[in-house]
Formats: sequence, C-alpha cells, structure tokens
Amino acid sequence: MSGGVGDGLEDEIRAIVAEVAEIAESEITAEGALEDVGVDSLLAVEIAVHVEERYGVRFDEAELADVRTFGQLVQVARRRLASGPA
Amino acid sequence: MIGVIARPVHVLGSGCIAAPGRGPDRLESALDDGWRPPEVSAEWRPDGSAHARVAAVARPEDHLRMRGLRSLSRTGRLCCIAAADALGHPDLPPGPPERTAVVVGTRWGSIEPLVEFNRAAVTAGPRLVNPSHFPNVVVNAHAGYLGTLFGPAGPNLTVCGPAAGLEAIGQAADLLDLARAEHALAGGVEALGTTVLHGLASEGSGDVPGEGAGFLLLGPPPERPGARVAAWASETVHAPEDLGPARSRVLEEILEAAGLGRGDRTLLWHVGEPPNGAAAGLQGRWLDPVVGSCHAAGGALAAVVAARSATAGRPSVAASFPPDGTQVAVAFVPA
Amino acid sequence: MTPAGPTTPVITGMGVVSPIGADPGQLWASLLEGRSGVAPVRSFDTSPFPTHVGCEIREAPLLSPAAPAPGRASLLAATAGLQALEEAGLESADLSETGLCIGTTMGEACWLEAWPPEAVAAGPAAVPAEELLRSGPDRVGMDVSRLLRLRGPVVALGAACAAGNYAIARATDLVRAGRIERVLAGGTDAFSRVAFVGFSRLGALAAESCRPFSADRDGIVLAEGAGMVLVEALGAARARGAAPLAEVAGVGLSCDAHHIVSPHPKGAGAVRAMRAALDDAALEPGDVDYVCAHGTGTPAGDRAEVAAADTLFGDRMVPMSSIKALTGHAMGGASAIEAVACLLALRHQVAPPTWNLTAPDAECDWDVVADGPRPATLGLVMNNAYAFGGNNASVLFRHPDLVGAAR
Repeated sequence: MSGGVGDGLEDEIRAIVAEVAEIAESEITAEGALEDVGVDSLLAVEIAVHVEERYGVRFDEAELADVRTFGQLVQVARRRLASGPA
Repeated sequence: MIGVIARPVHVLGSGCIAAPGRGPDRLESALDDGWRPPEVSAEWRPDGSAHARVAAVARPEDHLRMRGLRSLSRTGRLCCIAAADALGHPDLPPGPPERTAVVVGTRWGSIEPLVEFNRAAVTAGPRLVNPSHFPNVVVNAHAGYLGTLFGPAGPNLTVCGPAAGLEAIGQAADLLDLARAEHALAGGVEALGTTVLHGLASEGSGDVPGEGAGFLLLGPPPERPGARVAAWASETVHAPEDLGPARSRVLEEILEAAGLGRGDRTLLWHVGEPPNGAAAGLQGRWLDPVVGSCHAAGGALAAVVAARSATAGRPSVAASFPPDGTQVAVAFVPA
Repeated sequence: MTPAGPTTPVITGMGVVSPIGADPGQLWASLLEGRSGVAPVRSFDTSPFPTHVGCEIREAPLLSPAAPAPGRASLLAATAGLQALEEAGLESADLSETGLCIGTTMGEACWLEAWPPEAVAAGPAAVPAEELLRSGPDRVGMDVSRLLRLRGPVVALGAACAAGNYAIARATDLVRAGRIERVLAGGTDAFSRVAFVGFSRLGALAAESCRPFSADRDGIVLAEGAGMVLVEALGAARARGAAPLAEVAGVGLSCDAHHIVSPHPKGAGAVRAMRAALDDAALEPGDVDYVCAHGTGTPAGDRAEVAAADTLFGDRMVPMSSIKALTGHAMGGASAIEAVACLLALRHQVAPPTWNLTAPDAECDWDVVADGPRPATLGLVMNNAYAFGGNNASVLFRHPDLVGAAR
C-alpha cells in the first residue's frame, strides 16, 4: 500500500483506539482481536464515531459489523475515505 | 416513616471526597479547623454565574488511577473515589459479591450529562454523539459503574432527592436488616457543572454550592466493632409551613427509635438549616460551611463523620435538612 | 413457613397509561387482540435518524391539572396512579399516610428537549433558569404526590428500565417490615428524544417493529407510559374491606456487575434475581405458572433472557411472553406496565401472547406463547426487568385466592 495519508490514517486510528480503550498504543496489533484489548461493543461504536468525526465520513453498520481487528478497522476506514463521504 | 434496624448492621469502612480533600481524616480536621472553601477560581466561574465561592473538589482526575473511569461523568468519578476507599480498594471487598448491595443517593446526578448529551445531539447531530456518554444520562449509571468496576453484584439501587445520601444509607441498612444482602456500599454524591451552577445561581439562595461523595461499607460485626446503624427516620414535606415541624419530628423520631436521649451527649452532624429549637440539648456540627450545599453528598458526608464519632464512643445522628422535600436522619451508636 | 399476616403485602389497586390502552381494561383488550402502539414518531423530526417509529401515547385522557404544569412523565404517572387509588377505593380518602415510591430512568427530560436549538447551543444562560434543575426524578416524585394529594413519604428511585419493579420491591419491603401500611408504587417515562438519540447511536432501535424472541428481531421500539399499583398491608386492606388483586409473594434484586449496557450473555444476574425472588417467597421454580418477560426485542437481550430461563426452569418450559411487541419499551414505565399485565393475567386466567413472532429463533428456543392468548391456571406469575447498569429485578405476584397459602 502507498504511504502518505494512508500511514497517517493508521497512526491516528491507533491513537484513537488507545485512548478509548485506555491502553498503550504498543498493545495494539494489526491481527489481534480488539475485544482482547478491552474494546467492547460500546467502545467500538465510540471509536467509529471519533473516526467519522475526524475524517467527515459515515460508516455503514454493515461494513463495521465484521470488524474484529485493528487491521480490519483501518482497512474499512481507508476504503471509506477513498470512496468519499457516505 | 421510621426504620429500626434490628439486625446488627455495622460500619466496616468509609470513604469520602469533598472540597477540603479526600478521606474522613481530612474532612474531620477541616471541620475542626474551621476550613472554608476559597473564592472561586476562573475554572468555576462560567459566564453569568453569580457564585462568589464554590466548594469544589480540586482535580478529581488526580485521584484513583484505574482503567475504566474514562467514560464516567464527574458524578460517577466522585462516586468511585469515595466508594473505592470505603471498600478498601484495591483489596478485595469482604463477602461474596452477589451478597453485596450498592445504594447511591443523588439529587443532581444526571442533570449535567443529560444537558450535555442533548446539546451534542442538537448541535453536532444525533449521529456524532458519543455513545459512551449515553448511559450517564440515566441516573442509576453511577451505581451501575460501581458494580462493573468494583464487583458488588447484589441489589443495586439509586435514590433521588436532596436527602438521598442518608436515604440510601437507610435503604441499605434495610436491605441488610431484611437479609437481602450481607454487605452494602451506601452513600451519596453530587457533582457541580455549568448547568447546576447556573440553576443554583438563579434560585438565589445565597448558599455556597458544593460537591463531593461519601460512602459507608455496612456489614456484619467485624473483629473490632466500632459503630452500627441503629435506625433511620424520614419525613417528606408537602407544604412550606410543614418544614419546621417535619424537621422536629424527624429528630424526635430518630432519637426515640435509636434509644437516644438529648441528655446523653448525642452529637448531631447535619447539612441544611440547623433546626431551630428542635436540636436543643444536642451538640450540633453543621457541615455546610466546610463542604458547601451539596444535598445528597452532604448527608453522606455527615454520615461518615457521625459513624466515626460513634466508633469513638459517642452516639451520633447524621441529618439532612433540605429546604424542601424529604428530611432524613440516620442514627449511629457505638457497637 | 410464614403464613399470611397483617403485614403481608397485597395489591389493592392498579392503573396504567400506555400507547395501547389508557386504563387496565383497554390494555388487556389490546394484549389479547394484538393491537400495536407502533407508529411513525410525531413528537419530533426523525429524518436525521435511520429509524422513524415509536410508541407514543396519542389518545389517552390524561389529568389536566392547574398550573404549575407538571412534566409529562409526572402526568402519566399521576393519571395511572389515580386509577389505582380509585380501584382501591381511596380516591377521596385521607392520604396523609399513603406513601409514594416511583421509578424513572432520567426524570423529566421534556423541559430540556423543548429548548430551541440556538438556546441549547448558547448554553445555560440562554434557557429558562427555572428549568435547569427541574429534570430530577425527585421532582417527579413530588409532582405526582402533589397531583394525587398524597401527603405521606415520597421515595424516588432511578433504576433505568427496571424502575417499576424496583419501586414495587421497595414498597413491598416497607409494607412487609411494618414501616408503612400502604404505598402507591410504579414507574414512568415520557417519550424522549434523548433516549431515541442514545438507543439509535447504540444501534438498538428496531427498523419497523418490535419482535421479541423472533429470529429476525432487530431491536427496541422506544415508547412511553406509566404503571402504578397500590401495595398495601393485608391487615389494613381487610380492615377497610378492600379486596386484594394479588399478593406480592416475593421480590429479588441483583446486579450483573458485567457491563454498563450489555447484559451478561448467559443472564447470570437475571437468574440470581429470579432465584432471590423465589427464595423470598419460599417457593420453587416449579411453582411459577407464567413469566412476563423483559423481552425488548434486542438480539443479545432476548437471547440472554432465554438462557436465564433455561438455567432456572430447566426442561420445564414455563410460558414466557413479552408484551413489548405491542407496547414498545416504555423505559422506566415498562416493568410497571408489565406488572399490571401480570395482575390482569391472574384476574382473567389467561397468559398474554408474544405477538410479532415472525420466525422462531433456535437461540430463543422457549414457549413464548406465540400461538395467541392462552387460557391457563395461573396461581403464581413472575415479572422480570433488566436494565442499564446490569440492574435486574424480579417480582412474584400470587393469585388472591392463594394469599398466604402454606409454603
């Protein structure tokens, strides 16, 4: 994948997840389940809202429903950004 | 209404946070020293607020480092600080969790979160509200967080009103008296904020607004018994002319129910107007000048110091005398 | 073994105001006929939301008190409360010794929901000052008390969606312990835009209808309403010739201590509340004839509720239905409205059905009375409620002919 806004996006989302879950950024891995670092369904919605607010996008419930890992979350966000605001 | 507590319901621990600082020792020395809240700083003087003094808790976020507090409102956070101390956190609380009750009293408990959540929905739109802030708009969220963060899994109640801190302690004593639980974390909390301060300013009572939380841990007699809850008494005022008589009745009832007389050095720790005449013969300690006018929290703070003075050998009554609504007293006697 | 005594708590009156009935008779007819209260929301603009339905009370004759006007939650509760007092024969009595114990989720959100957007954005200085502190649940207690001319103790509880059961539980304990002879107890909430926003943001609102236990259920339909019952000491009721509608045989309270909004997946806390109610009544799960479920229609909630029933009742599928399919979820009023439904079930000896079951769900494999109103011998019914904060409450109502039956 190319650098530029893509990398900045991942860093920013990592920072959001770390803040909401009250963990160190280093604890977040691409493949690890977000649930395992304490992101329950309520915090997952909160993270999505912060990302929507930060980037001016709107996720569908459907595209978020299958997100289990940080990597998947970043992927969904990248796709949404690339296709423009919902 | 009167509740005589037949079973031995003892005070096993206490915790508090208020304007003078954290812990019952700090609260008692502030009362003894005549400590007064400082003039309000810029942080607490929102536009238009008329309060010259505010008895606010300095930097609640500096107390109690634990994960999971981030979503809590100011009310919830103050609750957790005082409750943690009462429970002896980080040690495990005594007794099986499913037999430990939680009863929280508050008057303003969810006004700020409710106003703020509404503001966010109206200004940013319903999609961009923070979902983690939604639970805080329901007034039992604070008690719910005490369950999720500290583990008590028995009956979990929230009582609302200006005397609700003492009502909560009375209801908790009832739960133990009726064997619905073996331990109970009971107390009261109020938090200040822009909405509350503006509302109080417009009421124009001249009282110094206060905030804080006080909690007792109640349970069976410990190895070294100190104080137990003997009784509670409450009267709801329905007309202004009944205020004085209701307060007198509450005092008469609590002294009789607890088997206390005026002549035996009973201490009266109270928030709200000192009752004229009715308290004659009782040594009264008025908390408002130190902790401000903080309703349910004030009553609970009175209970914290009343329980300690009973532990030290003097029967003590904690009483809430708000300007309207339910007047409540709880009696603590040496065990 | 505790036979009935003078402080055995009984119910001597009931009242309800709901989107499907302005009194208990109307409510019962709707429950049997499947008349739903779901309709497009009228009280505010739902175009910014993904869903647009709710259960608002449209045609009920509410009390019309003199100024100062109470909030809507207080008005609903007082209207239902007056029905209960009238049925109990107390509407003209001296009510100086009658207590009030009332539960809600937020109190009165109506004041702040009416503030114009520009005032909301500008801050507290821009809105009517007397409304800033008016929303607390304690104000609901005092306003209902004033409207009904009650002059006894007033207790205001916050217990979210279990508020009605919590209020009935506290009233029951006060009466049973001999602290007071009668308490009007119940729960109320008005249709709230704040609640709509919150549940919508959590993804908990159904698109079109409430389908408890159905495989395609998709959430709650927000509602409003109030239910009130008069809890009275048996001795006091008999002394004035009042006939009990039921005995409050037992109550049980617990907390999940699991998560602030999500229920324990196996309903562990719910099981403990049900067991506590049965222990309180010195009865067994086998004694329960019908359960009025919390049954909100959320995928996780209904699943957890059936898991709890399975744990408690085992192989014996006690009929368990949810009336929220028709009433929607009235928040603090819900379990109180459902308490009235329980009392009506006892009176008519019929278990109300779960309507809208479009497809059975293998994860909700239970007898949810999907086949229509079911005549049955009902001696003991259980009313369950589960709320934010993991607050669980179960109340057992026993048929009046069985009051004080040997345990």
